[in-house]
Amino acid sequence: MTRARIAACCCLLVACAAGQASRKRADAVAADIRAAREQNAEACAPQELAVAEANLRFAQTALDRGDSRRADAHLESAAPAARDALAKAKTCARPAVAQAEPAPAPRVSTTDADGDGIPDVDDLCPDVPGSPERRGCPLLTDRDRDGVSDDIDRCPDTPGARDNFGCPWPDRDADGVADKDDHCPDEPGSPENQGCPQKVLIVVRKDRIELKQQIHFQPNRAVILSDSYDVLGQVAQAIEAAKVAIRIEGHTDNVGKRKENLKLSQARAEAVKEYLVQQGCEATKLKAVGFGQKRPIASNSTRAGRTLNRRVEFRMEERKN
Amino acid sequence: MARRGTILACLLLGCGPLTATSAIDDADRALVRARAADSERYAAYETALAELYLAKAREEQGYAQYGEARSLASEAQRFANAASRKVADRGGEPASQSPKRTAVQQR
Repeated sequence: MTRARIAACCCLLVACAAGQASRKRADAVAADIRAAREQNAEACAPQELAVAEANLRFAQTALDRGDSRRADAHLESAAPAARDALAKAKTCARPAVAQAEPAPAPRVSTTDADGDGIPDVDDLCPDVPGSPERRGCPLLTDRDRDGVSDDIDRCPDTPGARDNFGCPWPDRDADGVADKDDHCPDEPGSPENQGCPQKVLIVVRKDRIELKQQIHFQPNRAVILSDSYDVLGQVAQAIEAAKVAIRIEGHTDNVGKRKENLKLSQARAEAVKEYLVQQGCEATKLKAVGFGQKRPIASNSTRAGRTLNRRVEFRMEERKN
Repeated sequence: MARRGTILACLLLGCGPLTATSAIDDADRALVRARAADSERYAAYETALAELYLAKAREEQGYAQYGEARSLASEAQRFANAASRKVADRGGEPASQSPKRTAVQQR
C-alpha cells in the first residue's frame, strides 16, 4: 500500500515537473510570438503567426486540463512556427509609413517689379507702375487731350473725335469742314456754306449789277423767296463796296392788268430795298421804282420770255466820287 | 423520480454533440464564405486562425469534448467573419451570404 502511494506521488511529481517544463516552453513560444508581432509578423508571416498563436492557445488549454502530452504536441507545432514568424518578420521590414514630405509652405510672391507698392501677384500691370485703384495699372494717358485715351487712340498725338478712334476727321480740301460735313469736300469753302465755295451770283458792271440768278417772289405778291437771299446778300455787299446810289427796278410781264402790274413791280422793288436795308445797306442810297410791263427784255408771247421779263434790276444812278 | 432524472441527464448529454456540431457547421459556412471572397489572399492571418480553430474544434469533438469543441468552433466562426469583413473593407469581392456549394459540400 505504501509502495503504491509512493509510486503515485512519484508520478504526480513527474507530471508536475513535466507541466512546469511545458509552461516554460509555452512562455518561450509566447515571447517569440510577441516579438514577431512587434515586427509586424501579422503582415509578413500571417500563416506562421496564426499557427503559432493557435497552437500556443491549444497548448495552454491542454496544460490547464493537465494534459501535458497534448500540450507538448501543440508546442511542437507552435515553437517552430513562432520562430519562422519572427524570422520572416525581421526580414520583412515593417512597411515604412510613407512620411509625406512636408508640403512646402505656399509662397506668396512679394516681389514688386515695377515698385508701385502692389505685389506682382496682385498687379495686373506688373511691369508698369500703377495705382492700387487700377490694380497696379497706370492711369490711361491722353497725350493729345482729345478725350480718347492713348490705349485706344489711333492718333494719340493728334486731337480727334472719339467716333473716329481719336483721329481727326479727314478734310481733303483743308477748309476746316470735315469731309463728312463738307458738301464740297474737294473745294474749300466756309462752314457757313457747308464747306462749299461762295457762288458768284452777281457781276458788277459799270452801270448796273448784273444778276446771274433772278430774284424770286411768291406769285402775285411782293414776298421774296428764301432761295434769293444769297444773291441779295451779294448784291448788298456790292452796293456797300460800290458806294453808289442804286435804283432798284421792278418789272413784270404783260399778264394781267397794266396798273396792277405796275403796282406789283413797285411793291417788289420796295420789298427788295427793305431786305437790302436789313442787310446793312443805307436806305438813302436805294431807290425803288416799279415799271410794270413797260420795259420787257424778251417777248411776252412765250413762257420763257415772260419769265425773263419778271425781274428786278439794280441800276447805278451815279458814282459818288 | 430517479427515472425522470435519468431521462433528463440523457437529454442533457445528448444536446452536447448537437450544439457542438451546429457550431462547427456554422463556423464551416462562415469559413467557406470568407474563402469565396478570396480571404486567403487578403486576410491570410484570420483565415488561417479560423481553419486551425475549426480543425481543433473537430478534434475536440472527436474526443467528445463538446463544450471545448463548441467554444473553438465559435472562435473559428469569429475569425472567419473577421476575414470576410477585412476583405470587404479592402473593397474586394463581398462575401456572399449564400456560399457557393463546392464539390466537397455536395458530396
